[in-house]
Amino acid sequence: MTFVVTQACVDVQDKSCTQVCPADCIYEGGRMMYINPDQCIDCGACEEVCPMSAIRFDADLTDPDLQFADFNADFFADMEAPKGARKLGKIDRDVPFVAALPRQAD
Amino acid sequence: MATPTISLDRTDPYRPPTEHVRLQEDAPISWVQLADGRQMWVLTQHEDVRAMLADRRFSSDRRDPRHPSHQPYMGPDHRPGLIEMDAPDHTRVRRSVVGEFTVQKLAAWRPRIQEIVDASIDDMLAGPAETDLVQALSLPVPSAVIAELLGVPYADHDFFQDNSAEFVRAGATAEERGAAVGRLKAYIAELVQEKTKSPGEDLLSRQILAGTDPEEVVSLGFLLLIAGHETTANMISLSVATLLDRREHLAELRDNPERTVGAVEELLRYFTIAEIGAARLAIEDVEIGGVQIRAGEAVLGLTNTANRDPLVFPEPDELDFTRMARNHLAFGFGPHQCLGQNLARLELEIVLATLLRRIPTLRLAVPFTEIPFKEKGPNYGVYELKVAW
Ligand code: HEM
Ligand code: SF4
Ligand code: SF4
Repeated sequence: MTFVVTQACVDVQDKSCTQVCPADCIYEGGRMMYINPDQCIDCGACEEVCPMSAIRFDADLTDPDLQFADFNADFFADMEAPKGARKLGKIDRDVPFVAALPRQAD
Repeated sequence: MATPTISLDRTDPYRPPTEHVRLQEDAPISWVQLADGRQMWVLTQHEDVRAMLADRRFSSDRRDPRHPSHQPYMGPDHRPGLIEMDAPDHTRVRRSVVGEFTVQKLAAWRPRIQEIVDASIDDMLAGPAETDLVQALSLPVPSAVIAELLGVPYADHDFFQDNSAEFVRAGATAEERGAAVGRLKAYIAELVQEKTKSPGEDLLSRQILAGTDPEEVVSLGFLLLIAGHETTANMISLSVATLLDRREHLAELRDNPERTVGAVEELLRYFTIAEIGAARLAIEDVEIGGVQIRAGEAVLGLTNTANRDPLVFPEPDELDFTRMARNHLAFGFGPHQCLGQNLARLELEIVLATLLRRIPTLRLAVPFTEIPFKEKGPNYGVYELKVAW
């Protein structure tokens, strides 16, 4: 059980959440943020500050956001225990579902 | 050089204890002696307090006599509650309950909290036009809310609230307080037993149904009760006292009710009432802000001065409802960050908005400087707040 970034973050990425994350586990993908479920410590700080209400507790996810619990985990599948979001900076890729979404108008 | 002793005295009710402020200016990380004789590292800057609270090498387990929050009754048999646990136990329990306190979940409570606040204000308006706000509103509201959240049956509300009130009553002796704690713990244990037989739609029942050890459910229920009662009450009282003293802020909120959310956040930062909220024991050698802290040394993060750190909060002594600073430490930081923070925010927002709307003539019945402030810790607040309308 951890917090999960959902579709409302896509093409927003204002990063209010990363400022308050004590575990430095909210990583910047190409078009959205992803929470590393192995590093999240369930403090809940990010949920409260997200202006888009994009961050949800996984047990409360409902369709169509349900799949984002897997998407957040999938993003880290090929990475060896990432050292921390700040160090890595922007990782210019997304899970296929997100990459295929039409661009949100600015 | 002799270890300096620092007191909790204040010269200004709107500022942290004078010696906390002086430490932040002169010696932001220092080894000091508290008024009760205990010695520890004190961190005063935002960056250092934050780093310490996020670092698992600083333990919350108070059973070690060297821990700054150790109490003599906490022998090795003491059963730690969530707030006293370290990973991995802490992680497990926190995960099992954090979903109850998300913004999303608590939104459903807004109408019910509004009713509870309205009922207290109805009672105020039905009585004499002068009262102690602490007893009339600040204490009863959080106590009623947590009772419902836990699933205390309505018939037991009076028992529950009376004992909660006794536990936080200003003049209560240690024995009286201990007796109230005993009755509440026994009550919650009984409640957990009943809910095991016939679960309801409440937090305790959901914990039981999820298979949590009954003793752990009791411990959690009790912690939720005590952690959220006096803290929220103090914030309600201090916020109302401030608005009634500084009328320009009152007018600002009245003209711009949409600023209430920002006002709550700023008042939380400004008062940062949990003065010993960030006490830890180093369990490994750690360097913080260039200072070497050794395993076995006690550390206290002063969130009150950290939240006035000018590097993070420009003009930190200004109360600015439009500041929208989200990185304050009033609810702590890291794994133990206040579990009830979103509930406290909701209660504060509803109380302030409703009070200003329903009693527009509200005023202080004593001069601000004569309000009895709680200066001796562990939480800043007021003992009594006489108001009139
Ligand atoms: C304005 C009101 C409140 C303030 C200022 C406050 C402050 C804090 C602080 C500073 C901590 C961190 C302690 C630490 O790091 O060791 C904390 C933890 C906690 N608070 Fe609050 N609190 C408030 C209201 C509440 C409410 C309403 C509840 C419950 C309904 C609550 C439940 C808890 C619990 C359970 C913890 C322990 C969390 C953990 O250890 O994982 N608090 N609170
Ligand atoms: S705060 Fe919300 S919208 Fe902003 S980057 Fe984080 S998840 Fe995305
Ligand atoms: S819940 Fe806390 S640790 Fe987890 S991602 Fe959000 S801010 Fe980071």
